[in-house]
Amino acid sequence: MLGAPSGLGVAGAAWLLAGFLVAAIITWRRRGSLSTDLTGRAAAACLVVTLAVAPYFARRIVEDLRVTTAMTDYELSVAGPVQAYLQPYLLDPVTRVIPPGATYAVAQGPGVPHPEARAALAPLAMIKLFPRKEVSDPRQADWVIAWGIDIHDVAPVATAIVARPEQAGYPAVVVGRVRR
Amino acid sequence: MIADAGGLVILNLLLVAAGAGITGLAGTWRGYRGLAGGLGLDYLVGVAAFGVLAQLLYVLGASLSLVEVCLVCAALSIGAVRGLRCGGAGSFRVGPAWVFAPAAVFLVLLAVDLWYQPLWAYDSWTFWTPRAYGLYALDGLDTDWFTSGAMLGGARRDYPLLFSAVEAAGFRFTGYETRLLDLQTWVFLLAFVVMIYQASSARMRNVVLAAVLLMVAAAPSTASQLAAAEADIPLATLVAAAGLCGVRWLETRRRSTLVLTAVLAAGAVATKIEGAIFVGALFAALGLCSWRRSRPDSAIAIAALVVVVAVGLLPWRIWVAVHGGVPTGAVPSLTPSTLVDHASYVPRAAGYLLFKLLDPRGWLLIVPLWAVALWSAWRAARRGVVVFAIVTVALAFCGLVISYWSTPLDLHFHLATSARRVVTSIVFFCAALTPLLADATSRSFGQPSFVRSRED
Repeated sequence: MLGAPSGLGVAGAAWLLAGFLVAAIITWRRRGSLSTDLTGRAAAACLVVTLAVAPYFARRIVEDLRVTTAMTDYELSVAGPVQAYLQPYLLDPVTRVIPPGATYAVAQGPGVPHPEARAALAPLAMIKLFPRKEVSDPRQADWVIAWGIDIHDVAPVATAIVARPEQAGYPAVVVGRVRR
Repeated sequence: MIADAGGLVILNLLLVAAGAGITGLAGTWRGYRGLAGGLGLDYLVGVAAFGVLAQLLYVLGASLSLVEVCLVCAALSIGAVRGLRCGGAGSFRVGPAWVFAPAAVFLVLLAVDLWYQPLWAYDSWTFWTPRAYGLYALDGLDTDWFTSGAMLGGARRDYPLLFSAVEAAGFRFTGYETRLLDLQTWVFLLAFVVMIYQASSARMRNVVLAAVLLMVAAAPSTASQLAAAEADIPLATLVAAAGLCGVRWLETRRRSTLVLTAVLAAGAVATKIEGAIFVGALFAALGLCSWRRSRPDSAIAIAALVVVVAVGLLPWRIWVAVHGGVPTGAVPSLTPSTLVDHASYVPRAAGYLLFKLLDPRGWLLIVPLWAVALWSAWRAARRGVVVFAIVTVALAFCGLVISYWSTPLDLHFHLATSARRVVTSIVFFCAALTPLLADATSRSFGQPSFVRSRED
C-alpha cells in the first residue's frame, strides 16, 4: 500500500498490545466454550490472534487512506512513474517531436541516477507515445530516445534534438531521427 | 468516478450471470435460492469462461466492443435457464452471520482503501494496465503494438490475456479509469471469500470457517497485493476455486463437476504463466488420487488437463508464435548446463518460498492451520483428500522452485520481487481446503461430500 507505515512504530506497537490484551481477556472469559479437538483449538487460536492484530492492520489501512486521500488527481495519475523515481512529464516534449505512426527505440545509460528510473523509461515511453511502436534495435527504428547516454553511441542520427534539458540531477532527454 | 464504478458493477454482474449459466448447465443449483447460494463460485466460473473466450476472440481478430462483451456474457448465461426452470425455489443455506462478519468488515475497509488507491505498482502500470488499454484503445490485438519489446520482451511473452481482457472489458464500461483496477481485483477476492463461505458454511465447523475467512481478508499480503492491482490475487482465486471443485469431483465423480474444475483451471492458465504450474499440479493430484479407485477417471483427469492447457494457453502461444518474432530479453532456460550452473538456487529458492508461505506477517496463520487440519483429517482416515491436498501443494511448490532454478535474473532480485506474490495461489488453495479438511475430522470415515452440492 502506498501510504501504509513501513515500520511498526510506537503507535502500532500500542495497537498490537491492546489487541492482544483484549483478545486474551475475551479468550480467558470464554475458555469453557473452547473446542476440545486439535483443529478446533488451532482454529480458535488463529481466530484470536487474527482478531488481536486486526486493529493494527485496520490502523495501517487508515494511515494509507490518510496519504492517498490527500493526493491530488494529478498526483494519483502519476503515482507509478513517481514510485520509480521518474519524472512523469519527462517525455511530454518527445510526443511533439516523434510523429504518430513512427517507430522508436529507447536507450538509457549510466547518467541516469536511479536504476529504477532507467528501467522504467521504456514503459513510460510506451504509455506517453501510445500507439507508436517501440522496436528493440535502435538502428531499425525511425527515432531514438536517449537518456543518460550519448545518442550517437546508440544509432546514427541525422539531428539530435534536446527534448528536455538536464534538470534536478536527471540528464537531458535527447531525440534523434535515425539516418538510413 | 462513481458513474464509472457503476459501469464496473454492471460488468461484474454480467460475469456473475455468465458463470451462473455455466454452473446452471452443470446442474450445481436449482431455483433462485440455489442461484443465490453460489454467487461466489458463479462469479469465478464466469470470469474464467469469459476471459478464456475473450482471449480466443482477440486472437481471432475480434475487438470485443461493449456490445460484444455483453453478447459473450449473455451467450454464456443462457444455461442459467436450466437451473431456474427446475426444482422450484431451491434451497439457500448459510452459516451464522458472525462467521462472515469479521471478514466482511475487512473487505469493506479494503474496498474503501482501494477506492483512493492510485496505480503505483511497477508491473501494474508498466505492463498489465497498458496491455488492457491497448486492447481497449486499439480495438483488439494490434499486431504492431502488441509485438513491441515492452509487451513481448523477456518473460512477458508467456503471459496470456485473461486478466488484461477483463480489465479491457472494464474500460468498455468505465472508460479509461485506472483507479478502479484495484477494485476489479478486489471483486475476485470478494467472490473467493463468499465462495468459501457458501460452499462450506452449511456443514462446516464455524470456528474454522470464521478463522479462514478472516485470515484471508485481513492478511497483510492480501491488502498489499490488492493495492498493487496485479494478476496474482485473481490467479489465486481461480486456482483455489478449481481445487475446491476438484475435491468435489473426487467425492462425487460427476462429470459436470470436472467440467467446472476445467473451466476454472483454464481461466487460471490464461491468467499467468504460473497458472500452468498450479493447474498441472492440481490435475496430476486428481489423476493420482483417482488411480486406485478408477483408472478411467484418472485418465479423464489427465485428458482434462490437456484440454485445459489447449484452451487456456494455446491460442495465445499460437498468436505469439505467428506474430511475436524472435524472443528478446532474458528468458528462463531449462537446459542441463543452466540447471547445473544454478544448482545452488534450489535450496535458496525452496527456503525463501517456504518462508514466504509461513511468514505470519504476510499470510497470518493460514498455512499452519491447513497443516493442522491435514493432520486431523489424516487421523480421521479421510486420506484421499489429504493426499490430494498434499500432492497438489507439493507439486505446485516444486514447480515454483524449478521456475526460480531456471531464472535468467539474479536470484535474490527475482525472489525478492516475486516470491511473496507467487505463493498466493498455494496459500489460497490451502485456505479453501481447510474448512473441508476440518469438516472431515468431525465425521467418520466414509461419510460423503466435503463440498456440499447446492441442490442438496
